Amino acid sequence: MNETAAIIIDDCWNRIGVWRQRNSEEACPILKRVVHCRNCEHYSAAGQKILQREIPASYREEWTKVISAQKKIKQPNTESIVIFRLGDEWLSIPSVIVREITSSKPIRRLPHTRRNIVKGLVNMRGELQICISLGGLMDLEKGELPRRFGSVGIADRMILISNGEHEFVFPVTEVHGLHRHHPSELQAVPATVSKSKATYTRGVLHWNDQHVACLEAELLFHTLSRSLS
Amino acid sequence: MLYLLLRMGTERYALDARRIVEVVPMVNLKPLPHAEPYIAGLFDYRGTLVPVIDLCRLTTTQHCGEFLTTRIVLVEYPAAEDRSHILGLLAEQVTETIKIKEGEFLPAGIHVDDAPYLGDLIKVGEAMVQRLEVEHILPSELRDNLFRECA
Repeated sequence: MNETAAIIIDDCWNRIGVWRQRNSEEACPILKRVVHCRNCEHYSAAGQKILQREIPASYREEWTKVISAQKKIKQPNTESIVIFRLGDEWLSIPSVIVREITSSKPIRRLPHTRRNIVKGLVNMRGELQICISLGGLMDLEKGELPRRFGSVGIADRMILISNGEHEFVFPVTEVHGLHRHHPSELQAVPATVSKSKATYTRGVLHWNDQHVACLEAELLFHTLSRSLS
Repeated sequence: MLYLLLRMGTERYALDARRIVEVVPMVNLKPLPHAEPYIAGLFDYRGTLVPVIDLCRLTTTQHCGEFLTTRIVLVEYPAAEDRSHILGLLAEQVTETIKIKEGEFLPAGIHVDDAPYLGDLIKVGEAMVQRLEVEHILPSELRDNLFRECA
């Protein structure tokens, strides 16, 4: 490794600067003026000295490739959603309301509750949470697709959602994960969609040849908390 | 106003940051045979062919050294017919920007006909820094030729 002569740098910041050993040497007199080494001209001069060396072997090739590629322009103001599958339906909720996604846990049934919406209680990290059925709430039909579907995603999960006031858990068939989209990508809900499902849907997103219904979080919490009281 | 500091040979110069599109590291350049020696070559900048001027070679007899701090400054270059093109300027020690007020520049006093791109002077610390007038870097004839090929 003698391609370039070693650059000799006086690391005064380690010796007498802010990174000196305690009780070792006296502090640098400049420190009084600049407070921290990063404000000191000796420190930045040393940094520039390090950069003042010959370029490493594959550096030019690498950058030639990077610079010749088109720059990806990120769309601003995108929204983040969590995409999951419930039976045959791909649905999504805003990721800000998702507190946790866990493996499936046993559901303790509650007597005298509206069975189609409230499934029972679930122990989430020692806290009892109300487990609800999204399918029951939205009148979704039982799925016919095999339980494990596709190669990505994780099957049989429970999602804990919270709006700061209420918390609910619901089981899903599969979680795909996070996805970002621009609000303008959302399409209107087709008229053929059953009425109860359309109520909760903010819009439909085209994703991986699938139509994902994006659910309205506020309405979801509102209906759920009302149906419990 | 913000200026980018760079070095050509032993001297430091300042470039108006408003003209700069991007500063990229030294990349592989396609040389142009028989062109002026200060034309370092062409490279593919995100799909556009951009000519690169070796600023060190423009003002001195030396080419820019191959250091990590040797970078290509991409500037908007006004061309004929109100169009502007991107021109690459290869220079050494492109590591710093400084803020200079417009009134702080002092006129150089001497105007060199062969180097119309050298502008006013300012004192930065101990050293004198000269402002580069980007639009005068290329002789008009060469400017039209270069960009006709790349258009």
